[in-house]
Amino acid sequence: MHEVMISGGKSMERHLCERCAAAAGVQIQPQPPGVTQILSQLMKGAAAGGPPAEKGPPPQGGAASACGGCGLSFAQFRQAGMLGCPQCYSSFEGQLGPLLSRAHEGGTHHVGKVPRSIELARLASGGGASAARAEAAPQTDERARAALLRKQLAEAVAAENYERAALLRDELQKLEALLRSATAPTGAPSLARPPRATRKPKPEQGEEGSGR
Amino acid sequence: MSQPGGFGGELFRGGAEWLSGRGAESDVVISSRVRLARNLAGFPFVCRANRLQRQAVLDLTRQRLTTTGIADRVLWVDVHRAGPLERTLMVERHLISKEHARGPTGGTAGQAPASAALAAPAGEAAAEPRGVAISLPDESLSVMVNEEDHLRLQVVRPGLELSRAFAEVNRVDDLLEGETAPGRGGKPLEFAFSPRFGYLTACPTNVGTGIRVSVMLHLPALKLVGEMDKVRRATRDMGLAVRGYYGEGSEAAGEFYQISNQTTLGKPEAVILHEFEREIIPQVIQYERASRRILLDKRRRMLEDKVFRSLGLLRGARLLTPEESIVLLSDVRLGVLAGLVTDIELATVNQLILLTQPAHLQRVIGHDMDQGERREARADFVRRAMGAA
Repeated sequence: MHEVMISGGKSMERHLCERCAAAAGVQIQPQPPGVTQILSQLMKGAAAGGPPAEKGPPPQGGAASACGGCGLSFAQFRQAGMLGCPQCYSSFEGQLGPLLSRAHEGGTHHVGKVPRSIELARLASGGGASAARAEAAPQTDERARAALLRKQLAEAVAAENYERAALLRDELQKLEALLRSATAPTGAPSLARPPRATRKPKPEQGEEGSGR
Repeated sequence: MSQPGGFGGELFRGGAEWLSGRGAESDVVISSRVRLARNLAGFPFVCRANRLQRQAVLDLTRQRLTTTGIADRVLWVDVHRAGPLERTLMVERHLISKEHARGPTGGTAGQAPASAALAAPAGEAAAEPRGVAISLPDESLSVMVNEEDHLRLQVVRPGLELSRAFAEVNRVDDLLEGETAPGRGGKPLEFAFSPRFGYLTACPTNVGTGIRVSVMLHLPALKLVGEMDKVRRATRDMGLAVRGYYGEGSEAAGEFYQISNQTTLGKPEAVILHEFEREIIPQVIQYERASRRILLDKRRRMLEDKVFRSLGLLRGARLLTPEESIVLLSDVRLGVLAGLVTDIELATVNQLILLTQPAHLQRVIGHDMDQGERREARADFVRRAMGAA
């Protein structure tokens, strides 16, 4: 416990252990909870039938009592802390959104690496066989991601953390290039990068080993 | 690319590369680890999958991991078929987690326990299909299959080398989902990914980038000058987790601490790495070094007493537990780095931290022992390594 008292224009500094601080009547700020604790508390609160831990938008597609992919109910998730399958994220999107935002310091959308197959499908989204894959990446998500990056960039500049700002700027430029290419007309020069070769089963011969 | 078929020969007999004492800032930073969590599209997560589905995930990923060139040589281990000693060896070498050694239960340390519906029946968990691919000979890369997520890729490097560790794990990630030359590598893996939430993981605390950046630090001087609690608070204020030597749920042993990120959604990998490598960890390193200087300049006698008492115990003890060993070795490590102990190599101290663990000790001695025998053998082994009779 580190306490600075200013009295009569004089500053006095004290270093106390938590027990001595309590004995001296100094109020100790509780530790900020970790992500896991937040998640656990939110889920326990909801499981106990208490008030919703977070006001969020009404569930979108999350009104389902069980995931269509694996049958997991949101109550089971609250109890175990584990989702059952990738589809759970869309089944429970409405409930998960605010919970994740709190657990991830306000993070609402993924920013960062994208699987190569999806990245290339987005680049080719002007048409062709990959368009179906690209539909999985609606531009609303891209725009939300860009907005999040711009906010982080502004914060980094305000804090004069120029190294971090440069990293965020690079990330933002990549995303904006993607957005531009997605809105470009079919066959535009920006789509010059060839789409990924279609995935065909590869011949199995010639592979080394088979396990142990 | 080849696959040694098991634990024979000299495998896992010596020390681990991440404990070699090499790498940047190795006076304070023991090792750097970057882990990526990935799941296959089209399969339930491990906690919800039945045995057939787990086996299918294992077959798909094993083929990819052992034939795609993720390392010059790859060792594949079916963890569910490995013996208890082999599993413990891999845990002690930080190649697999304790949870992976035990078998899937649907929950992790620090989380609410899994419901009975999600958990594998007791006693059967150890038989659930799961594995690990390990790069040889350096063991810097390991990929756990069917742990909490279908794939947990990790690279561990000695010292502060997070960028290099990330570059390496990212390369493996790309290889697993990328096209390979015809006839090699099998079918590319398709990872579960959402435009909004990124890489989808069983536990929502990992969703997004799926990245966990972790640095193991040795901070004995900060503890001795009474500043460790302040560091703990500061790192927690920054949304980071502070754990002990043995990872999740463990307290500090011998003043070895692991600091890792907790936020995985809404921040790009490059920024998370930058925060660690350029902003947070350098500050902690400077703080520890300043504390070491204070001890040497102002409290030298106290420091000498602490170091040489511990060295005396290690050189004279006839019975040693692993917990006591690591505490004493931590003091001696500080003494070597401070220039007080000159007849012991830093590498020797580092490797003893690993070789005094129960499974490694039995491996080194060459036969199984009960706890009492291990205490005696450990003390004998340490005395010899420390140059005492």
